[in-house]
Amino acid sequence: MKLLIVDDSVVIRRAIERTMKSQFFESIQTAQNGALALKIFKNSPIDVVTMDITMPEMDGLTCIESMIKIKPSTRILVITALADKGTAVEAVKRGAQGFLLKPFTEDDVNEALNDLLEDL
Amino acid sequence: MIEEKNLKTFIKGTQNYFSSVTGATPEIGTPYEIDASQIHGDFTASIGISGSQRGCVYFTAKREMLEILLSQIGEISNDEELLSDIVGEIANTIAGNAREDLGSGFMISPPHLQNGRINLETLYQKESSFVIPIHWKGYACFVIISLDVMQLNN
Repeated sequence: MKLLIVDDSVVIRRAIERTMKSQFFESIQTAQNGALALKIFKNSPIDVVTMDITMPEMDGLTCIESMIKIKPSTRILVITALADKGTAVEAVKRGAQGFLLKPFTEDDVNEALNDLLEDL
Repeated sequence: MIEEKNLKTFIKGTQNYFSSVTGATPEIGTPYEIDASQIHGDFTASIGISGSQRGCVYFTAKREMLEILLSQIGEISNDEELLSDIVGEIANTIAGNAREDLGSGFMISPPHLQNGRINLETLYQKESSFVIPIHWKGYACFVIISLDVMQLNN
């Protein structure tokens, strides 16, 4: 499986990437905003995405909707600081299957990814 | 004027950030009205607030503290980009977590990053901004809440 990590924070991208290197992904790519993520997504066979919401150029919710239209089987885990229930509901409506609130630990990310992929 | 109960929302978010990420609970001092002489930091980030409120949430910290924080989260590098980025991520997390109490109408922007101490001349609200002082592992850092009006909307 191929993973795409989308977050405008380089610290967060690197933290998730470090955690995911111990997982079973064939490749890991990163993007700093939704627009760049969508460009990568269109040109690479991405299976799993971790997606921030608040980003410049294109926000995560818009990006999720576009990705799901292109490839409905994509597994998307939202990782965001936005702690209101409305954001989680909206992310699921757009096609995300998982939701993890920042701040997070390495264990939190592993658990959320395992839940996201358990029925594959 | 910011209400005490709303300041508590940001205090809760600040405590949660440091406790969750580092395992060490920070000591939060009594919030006070902005005083330039008491705020110091090498890196600063601001989050623009719109929607139900208008203003900014700032976070500022010294280099030494940020280097330790990066190390605690497993980061082996501590270059300028990462030091600048992490203050943005802290500000983003504290402001974003506030939506649990302040609702979805509390809209936040991506972080605006700047090197150096906070410029009080560019504060959104010069007259009624509040400082939340934080002590973590012997280092001081600051959250500054600079909003027009705060009301709970949920």
